[in-house]
Amino acid sequence: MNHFFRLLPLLTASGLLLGTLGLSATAQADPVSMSAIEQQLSRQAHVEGTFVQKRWLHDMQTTLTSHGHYEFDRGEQVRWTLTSPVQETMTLDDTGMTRNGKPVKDDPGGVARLIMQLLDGDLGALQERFTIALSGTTGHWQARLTPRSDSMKRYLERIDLAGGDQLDTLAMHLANEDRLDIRLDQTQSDS
Amino acid sequence: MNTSGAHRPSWAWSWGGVILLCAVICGWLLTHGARFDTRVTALLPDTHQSELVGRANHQLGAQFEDRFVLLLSADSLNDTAARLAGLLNQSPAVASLQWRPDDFESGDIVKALGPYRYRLMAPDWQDDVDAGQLENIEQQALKGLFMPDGLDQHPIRDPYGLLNHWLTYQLPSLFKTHHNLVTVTSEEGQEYAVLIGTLHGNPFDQGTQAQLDASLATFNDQFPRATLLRSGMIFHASEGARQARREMSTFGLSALMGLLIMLWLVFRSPKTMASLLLPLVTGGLFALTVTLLIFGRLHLLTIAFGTSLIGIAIDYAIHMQCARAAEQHHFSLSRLLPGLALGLASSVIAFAAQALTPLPGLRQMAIFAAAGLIGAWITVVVWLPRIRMKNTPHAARLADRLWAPFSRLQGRLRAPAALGLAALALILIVSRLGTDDSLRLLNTSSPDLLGDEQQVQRLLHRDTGTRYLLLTAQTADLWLDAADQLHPLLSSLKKEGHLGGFELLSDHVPTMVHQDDNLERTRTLYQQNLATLYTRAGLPETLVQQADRTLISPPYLTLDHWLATGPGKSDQRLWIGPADPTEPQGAVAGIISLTGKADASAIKALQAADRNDPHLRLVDRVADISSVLGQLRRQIAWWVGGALVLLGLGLSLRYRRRTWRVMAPAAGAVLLVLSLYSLLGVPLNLFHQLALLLVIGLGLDAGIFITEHPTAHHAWLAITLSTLSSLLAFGLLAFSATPVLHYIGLTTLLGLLSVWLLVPLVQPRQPTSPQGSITHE
Repeated sequence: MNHFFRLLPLLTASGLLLGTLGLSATAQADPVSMSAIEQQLSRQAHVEGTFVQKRWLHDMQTTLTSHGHYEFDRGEQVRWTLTSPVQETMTLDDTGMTRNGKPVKDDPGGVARLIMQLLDGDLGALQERFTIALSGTTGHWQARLTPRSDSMKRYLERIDLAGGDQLDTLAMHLANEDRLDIRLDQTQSDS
Repeated sequence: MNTSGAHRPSWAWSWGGVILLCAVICGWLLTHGARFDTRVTALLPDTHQSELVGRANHQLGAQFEDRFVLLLSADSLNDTAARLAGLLNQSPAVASLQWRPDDFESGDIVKALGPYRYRLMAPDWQDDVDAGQLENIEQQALKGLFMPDGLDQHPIRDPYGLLNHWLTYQLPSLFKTHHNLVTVTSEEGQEYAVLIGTLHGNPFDQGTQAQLDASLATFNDQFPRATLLRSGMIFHASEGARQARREMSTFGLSALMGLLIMLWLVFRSPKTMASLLLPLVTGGLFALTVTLLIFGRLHLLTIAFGTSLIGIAIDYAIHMQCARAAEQHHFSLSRLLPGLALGLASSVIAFAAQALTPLPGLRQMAIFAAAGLIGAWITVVVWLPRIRMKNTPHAARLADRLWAPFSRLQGRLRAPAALGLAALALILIVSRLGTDDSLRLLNTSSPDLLGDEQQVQRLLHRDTGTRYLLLTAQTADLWLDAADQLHPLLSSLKKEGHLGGFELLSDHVPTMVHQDDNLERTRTLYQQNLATLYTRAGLPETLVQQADRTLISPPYLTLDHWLATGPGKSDQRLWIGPADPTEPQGAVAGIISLTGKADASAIKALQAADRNDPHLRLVDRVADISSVLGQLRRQIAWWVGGALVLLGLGLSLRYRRRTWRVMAPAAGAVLLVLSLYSLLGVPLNLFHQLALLLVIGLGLDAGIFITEHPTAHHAWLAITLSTLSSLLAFGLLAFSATPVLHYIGLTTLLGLLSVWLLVPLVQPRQPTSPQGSITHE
């Protein structure tokens, strides 16, 4: 039971999934609310696009950049594929996670479940593990997720999400000042 | 009036002083460190080695005692698990509960193990490096750098993710943690949520048991369709205690009521009834003090068996009071004394013989029983005659009335016929009687609970430490070397399907030689591939020098260090440390636990390893306990058999040709019970035999008394009463659901009835029945 240490990939995955929510554009000037986001989340059935992922290593003042594409079928499966400089595919569905087709049993943060809840528009469930601060408007919003548990806080300071019509960027700020920035470009969506 | 020494007041006062002193000593010992032992291993012969085994057993069992595991399956697993956790968290019995993945937090692993990572390499990568095939490692390293997978995959500190890969290999994942639950899945695909509780109190504490039971009962009421698998000492202890309480209240109460009614019907005097119980109390106190003074501790089995053997003590009191009631002012202690003395001597010899055996458990029981009998006997002889008794004409009338059937049975079994029957019984016993020394005898848990336990342990790949290898060595590092050398044997047994699995500390902490080899491999990997890796990642090659610096002289991972880390914590149960606690710098010991099944060829191979290495020992607790039970059973049989022969010789000095009549009730009852068991196919076990001791004690008393007073009606009344009281106290246990009590009860029931019938049958027919009950031989 001492191996709940694989935090990063899962948080990455969670970020990715947040990114694939495909918040549809209902450019409103009202302050954003949980319920507004929840409503938006439940609209698109299929979303896909490309991403650029940058890993910032604070102590080396260096960035490692990678590229890939993603795919999301609402309530069914999320697929995240790294294509350069290395090949790797990560999937997430109701039965859990796989990496390159092999199941990953650990889900230390319970992130997989949280994401599924999120995809179903259940932001209330995310609040069990994070404090969520929303700002901006529904047309241009930001969300700041701060972990509640000490074990997660040891690695992760916060996750910042920002989007307009859809989720555009995700930034994971790690406790050691490293950062993972992901930028998403949606190329296709079906309602 | 007689003037025998025992009747002098000074004796009574002295004995009163002794009993008072016993009470003081006993009270002091019990409040100052005397302890009660429940470990079955405490019954084993006392050697240095088995003390170590005892510590190993204790260490392996501790988790099982302090904690409990629940596996839950239900339709909406998350909500149901949350409700169950809520109920358990509210229970005062539960100190803490782990059921969310976060609850199993294992500290900062990077800080704890990071410095050692260059000396730790999982076997698959060792092979890759040795074969010069680095592509796979490089690919994984690249993924780790771009999509940080796991722990601290840093381009300089750990470009290949050595730490992460090693840990992943070390700790193969048994649990799933998605849905924010910790779950395991059975082979049939059933998913169970895992809840691990730590108890606030002792699992044997009734309050703790009741609180946990109540929480689970509430849960079962609310979720009748959920399945709950239970594992942990508390459930077994609770079930055993519940059954014992239920039986105590039914059997204990009915036995006590029956005894009181019987004594009241005979004596019609509360004072006489109290005088019958007085020897039991003083005998018990005397026995407790003597045993504690000699052994310093008391085994609970001693109390259980010893108390039943002291049951014989009530015999003396009954004989005495029956004689007084029947003879009234004609009563003479001196006439009764030889019978009483011989009765005591025969029982004490039968029990005390076992004090000479090498088994400490048996010695303790023997001393407890012998001291108890002596204490009770002294009370009967020096105190009871001084207690003034009301005339009890009723008892005398009853003695006369009972004499009629007795005299009709007299002399029906003559020596040749008795001898023939005995020979027949012996043939039957030798040819057909089986034995049973299995651990099931000590089991009080229901099949349901045992099934739960097995399923939980199978699903969690855990065991309660029933079978393991105990290894000693001069230092921790030599220990790891020795353990490592066992690896090929154990893994081949596992691979061939003979052994379920094993936990080897040297798999987690490589020996220093292996750690050096691994460091060499890491250096090779860096030399041959690191520059390429950096280039492919778009990092400057100049970093190679920085990374190389980490390999200059990394520290060794020591066993102590590993055990102190989060992932190593669960290995603590496998490490004993100094084999002798008084010599902290001496040899060290550790455990290699064997999980799952171990078939005959695995046991054979491990036994061979045990024989070839004086520092290695295969401990099989189930087999050990069985062998203790078997050893105890055989020892008792031999000693009692020998004691009976010696007693026969001794008694023949006084009784000459009548000796067979003295011995026949006891010996005949034993043969009768054993023949019945042979015929019915009941295998003989230790507890049957312990009950036979009671039968022998009462049988000898009866034989001696009736032979001393062949025409005394009160003797037959006393024998009848003591048989009935023992039947009420022990015979009722035949209907108990607790196996141990059932065996004791059944044997007592059959044995005492045999004694009672044999006493008149083997007595010579008296030519004329004397009038009245006052007789003089």
